[in-house]
Amino acid sequence: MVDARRIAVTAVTAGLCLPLALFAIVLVPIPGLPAASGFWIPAGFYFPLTLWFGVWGALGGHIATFLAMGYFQGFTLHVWLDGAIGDFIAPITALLIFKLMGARPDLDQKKNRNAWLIAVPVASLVCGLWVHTVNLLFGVITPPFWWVGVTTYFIGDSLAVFIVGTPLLRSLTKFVKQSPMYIWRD
Amino acid sequence: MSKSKVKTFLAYLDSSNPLLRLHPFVKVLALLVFNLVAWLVEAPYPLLAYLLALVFLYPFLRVSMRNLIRALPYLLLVAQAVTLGYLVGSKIPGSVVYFSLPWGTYVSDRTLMFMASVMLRISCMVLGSTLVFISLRDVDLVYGFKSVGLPFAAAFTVNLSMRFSMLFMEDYARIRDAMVLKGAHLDSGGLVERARLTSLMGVPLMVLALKRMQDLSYVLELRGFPPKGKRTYVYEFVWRPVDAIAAAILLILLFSTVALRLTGFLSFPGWPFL
Amino acid sequence: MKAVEIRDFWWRYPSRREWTLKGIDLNVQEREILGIIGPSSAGKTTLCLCISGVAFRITRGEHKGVLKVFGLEVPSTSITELSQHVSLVLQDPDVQFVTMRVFDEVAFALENSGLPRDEILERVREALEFTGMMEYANKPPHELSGGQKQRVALAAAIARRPSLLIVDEATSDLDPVGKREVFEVVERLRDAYRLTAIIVDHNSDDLTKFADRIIVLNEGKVAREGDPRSVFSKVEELTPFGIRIPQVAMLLAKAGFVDGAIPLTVDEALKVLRPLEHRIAVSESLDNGAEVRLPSAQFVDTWYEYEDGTIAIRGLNLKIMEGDFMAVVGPNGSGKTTMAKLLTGLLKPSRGIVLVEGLDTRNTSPSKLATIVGYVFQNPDHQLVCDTVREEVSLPLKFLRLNSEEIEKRVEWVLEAVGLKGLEDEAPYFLSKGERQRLALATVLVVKPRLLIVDEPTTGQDERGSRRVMDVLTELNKTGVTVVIITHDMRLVCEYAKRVAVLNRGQLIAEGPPKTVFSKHLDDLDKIGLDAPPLAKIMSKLAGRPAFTLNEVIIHR
Repeated sequence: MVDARRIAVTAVTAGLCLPLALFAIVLVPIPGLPAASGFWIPAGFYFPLTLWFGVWGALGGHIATFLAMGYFQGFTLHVWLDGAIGDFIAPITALLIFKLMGARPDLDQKKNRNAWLIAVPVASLVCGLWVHTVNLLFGVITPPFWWVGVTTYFIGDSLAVFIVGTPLLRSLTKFVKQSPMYIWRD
Repeated sequence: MSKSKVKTFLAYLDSSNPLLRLHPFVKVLALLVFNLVAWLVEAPYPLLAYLLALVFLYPFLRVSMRNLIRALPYLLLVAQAVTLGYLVGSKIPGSVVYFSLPWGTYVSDRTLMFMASVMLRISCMVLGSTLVFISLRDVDLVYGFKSVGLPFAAAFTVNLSMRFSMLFMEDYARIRDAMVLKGAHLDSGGLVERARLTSLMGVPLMVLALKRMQDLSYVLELRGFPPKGKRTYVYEFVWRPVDAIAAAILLILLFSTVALRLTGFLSFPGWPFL
Repeated sequence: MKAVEIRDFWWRYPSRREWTLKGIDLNVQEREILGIIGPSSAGKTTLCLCISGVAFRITRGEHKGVLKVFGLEVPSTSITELSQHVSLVLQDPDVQFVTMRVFDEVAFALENSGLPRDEILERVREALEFTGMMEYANKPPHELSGGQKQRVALAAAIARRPSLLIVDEATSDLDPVGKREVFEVVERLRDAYRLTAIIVDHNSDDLTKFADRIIVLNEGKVAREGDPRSVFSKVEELTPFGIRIPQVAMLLAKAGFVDGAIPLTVDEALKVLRPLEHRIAVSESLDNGAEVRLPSAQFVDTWYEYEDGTIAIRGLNLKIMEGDFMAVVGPNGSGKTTMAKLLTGLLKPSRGIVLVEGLDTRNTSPSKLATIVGYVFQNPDHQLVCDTVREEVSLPLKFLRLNSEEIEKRVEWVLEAVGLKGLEDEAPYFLSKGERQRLALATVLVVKPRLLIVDEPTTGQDERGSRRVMDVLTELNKTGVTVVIITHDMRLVCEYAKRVAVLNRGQLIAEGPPKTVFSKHLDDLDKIGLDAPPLAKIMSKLAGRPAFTLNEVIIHR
């Protein structure tokens, strides 16, 4: 159900991640892969935002990625299917893992930290598999390069989420808990 | 900026440009068709013909050819990646094999055709989408989404995201300035150090984002969003004969592509898992 | 009829132990303009959010008691129905804009409510004309000045033709002209549409001119209530609340008018005080101790042009002397912040030179200049990046690679200086706005800069918080630190600054000790909408020269 709070979460997440995505593309470009970055900074933001506020945060990441990559690559079907859908799937995967493990995003307990340590690489791997399968379907990469793409994607995204996202979850979850939009209620 | 210019997603267009008067439904349809056709066509010569047709549309619709140049760096980068990928990492059988590599891949005449097809396909998508986005204003997005039955909230959220991205760009610049004035060296140092400093800047950005979510939800609620009943749209887009003609051409293009593809005329045997 | 009826109303935010509003009793009559003042954290914004109904829908806290707006029980009425009666304008206009055009912004809520198209067009036109924003209808709202932005927010609010308009600190970032414009629009609306208004503002000098009634909110309760003349006649009773009391009221109290309806405007005060003219004088103490030393920083025919072609600084020639306490004032968009950024080296002059302790900023990196120049941003949230207060203050010292002993010593010193001792392990984002402002100041002070620039140090803070920041700056200045503040608050300028630089459209139009500027350049200041404080105006007319603080006013018995 769409309401003002959920739209606010999505729009602000997208608004926050859009300039960060542009920044990431310029800061750590991958030679030969336009509008891609070896350090996808926005993922470090939309992962925590999805863990705090649910699917609406992931939707924000999706919009931001489409607009940012579209700005460089053109707003094509390829960009939408590849990066934008991928960046929606990744945080949703992390959220599902947290739900399945009964963990919370504040990382103060071992169970929560374990969930984070599992969720980030698994989500990045799922996202990498998606992105490079789409690339393969469009002929942008060849089958022997598929694994290379998936592996580099997995490493790059996991690193960005761990480096940027971990301090955000650790520092700000107690602040976010005051928000009525926080989805975890004990 | 001259008063007769209109700001769109990607450019400033003369207010007299015919694209601006096109019904938003046609623009959304064009975005969909331009991309789907490029996706459906696999054979290189039809793709080349399609690309030339798209290039011709730019001057025909009074869109500066300079907008094509903005797509060039991206296309060159794609060309570089695709060329590298196919030259060193593909096994596409053909009538002639030009060379083989020690790890078992080789380049044949069909490899080159295949490479050209991929490049043409991506180029068609970029040129087609760019043409639409050059004429797309925020109101077009709202009315275009509405005309194809998508909820108003979806288009509104995209517009709102862009509006907020401007605020965060300003915030980012200020936070960066504050870090520099604290003595942080953001432009030098190793990748790890830069990553650490970037993660520090994340905290104030996130705090601002969390506060803005709260304020924005107040504002939206107070202004009756999302609408509980029927919403009025103040802009009126009249469906004109030219819109009908444009939509018909786009639909004919799409259906004929589907038909030709089904007959195998536009296919490239073995695509994409060669 | 009662527009608002509140009886024994309590409100508590989710996951908080303390009630924010504690048994509020308040009635607001139709066509009344009610002013709400009170210290920070008194519950002013919470009260506004509750009356507008939005607190019940979004925040979903706990409440008890009665809260009615035009007879409707707010907690149980849908926001759709309530929003036909109530509009709320918030402090930050930027976060309120949800579209890319002024016209669309004003039409947005009307479209959502499903009004007929012709009626929407008519209402938008009327609201834009009423607020004087018609010519900006096609502009992006975020490209407007601060005052214009708030007028657009007001236009969007009044286009819905509310019966009750709530304005929550919407004028705190505005220059005096912008502030007056907003208040005048509200007053005209009351007359034209029988509107009831609730206005929250820290600046009682302005608010008292427009409000029919004032309430003082303190710790979630109505501490004082009445018409402005009677509320402010009891100056001594109000002082403990830490709110800003109108200067006219303070002067009248000093002159012995302690009860009843006291005057509140300069003209009224002059009428009452004229008979005592022969007994009133201004003490000889001239300016705030200006001393001439060497220049700490210098602008030599400096120009600055932004990439979009806006010329923010035009041929500026100005010296900031060592040990100075300079206030830079000017209307919104006059180039004050650009001037500060030129001093920090974040911006390089397009033409001319900026020298800081003899260093040409064109050839010196901002991080090198940071050891000489400290810059405190207007919004502390842009400056605070760590998990604890201690880490926050230590961070710049770690960049300087100081040893841990020195870091520890400086952290101790600076937290003591800004009054944050004991909060070392607190998370910065849990501090109050005033505390965050002082923490931001501490993160700059800890480097011991010799030139300190503070951008709007007191915006949105109550009188107690403002004084605290200004007292810290004064103490630092006494130790030899050159201080430059950028502000709209003329009372603070007069009380604390040794020199004033007045900018308008990027040009320096006056400069000198406050007394000289406010007596010799009154007309110039008036033209650009910078009012001298009421006390200065009254004493200029009564005693022939301005007074800036009550201590300077001598009343012979």
